[in-house]
Amino acid sequence: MKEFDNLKELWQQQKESTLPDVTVIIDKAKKAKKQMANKIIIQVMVLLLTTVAIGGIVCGIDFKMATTFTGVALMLFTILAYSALRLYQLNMLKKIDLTLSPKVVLSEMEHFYSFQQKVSTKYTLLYFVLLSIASGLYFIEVMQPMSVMFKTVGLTVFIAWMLIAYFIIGKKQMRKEYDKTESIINALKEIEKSYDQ
Amino acid sequence: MTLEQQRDTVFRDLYAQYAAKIHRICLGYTGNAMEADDLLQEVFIKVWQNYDKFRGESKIATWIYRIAVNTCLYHIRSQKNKKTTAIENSNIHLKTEEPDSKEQQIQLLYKCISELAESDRLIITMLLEDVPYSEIAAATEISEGNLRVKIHRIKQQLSTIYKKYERV
Repeated sequence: MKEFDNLKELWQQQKESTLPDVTVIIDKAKKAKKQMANKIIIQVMVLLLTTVAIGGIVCGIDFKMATTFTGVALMLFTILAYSALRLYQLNMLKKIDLTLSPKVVLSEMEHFYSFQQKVSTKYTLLYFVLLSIASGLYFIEVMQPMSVMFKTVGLTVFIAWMLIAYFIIGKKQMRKEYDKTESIINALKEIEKSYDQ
Repeated sequence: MTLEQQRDTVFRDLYAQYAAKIHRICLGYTGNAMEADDLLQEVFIKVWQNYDKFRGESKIATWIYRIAVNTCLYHIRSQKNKKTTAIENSNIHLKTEEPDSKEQQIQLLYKCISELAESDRLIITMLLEDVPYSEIAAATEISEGNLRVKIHRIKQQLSTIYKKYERV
């Protein structure tokens, strides 16, 4: 194929580009390992601090009603479960081994993004709903001593915030997240398809 | 010499030997010099981090090409997040160069490569880099028979796109 040979000749005549310094790459490689570990440590620390803070509030204030304890327990469970999910996801991404066959890598990436799509839409929605219920339960006792007017205002603000967060911010954000992951999944499928052709 | 120093020395040799080729493969894939620099760094960071996993079952070159192929495919994450295709941001400036200059023809070639499917871009740039069929097959894990058919089709496609632009 003469034309291709001409293109190849042309390709091989191109000037050498200035490449990044090898020492910089070695330093980055060494740092990258530490950075990933630090990211996980920070996430776990935030999680522990949140747990301690919530625990502190429960112990510090003399709560009486069962709804408050249920609310706090639900809050703790939701935060713990969601953080565990995020950590699992981070680990899943870290585990993609770029030394394996491209087909394996593509299928692992597809699996990761399908999971990410679930996390950023369904699970995030569930997280929001559970946290809202937990906050609602917690505020029943906190709002007990308040006047009827304060209770009404508080309840209105709380419900309004939930509706805005869910119908306006949440839906928009979820659509954005869904579209983003969907475009990556489609691109991966397209590559897989062209690989098989 | 400590183990880490030994690894660094081997790594420096590998970088000296393969960085230019890998950089051009990445440039062919992204059509953007800055992204190609980033990808090259990512490839060699992976080489450094995974060097212990290399068991010598294939040639070291094949192993590096495979990491390059995977890193380029993996790059789709950041590419899609930017919501623009690489070529839109590319540093390929066809109009600023003298017509018919060698440099312009090379830039045109990059533009043509960018119009191919992702996996085809990787295969064709390896071929342009004179990587043997057996190594391309091993790096991409496509059977040699299938690869030959693919390459024939990609060569035709590339030549057609190049001719189309040449006529403009």
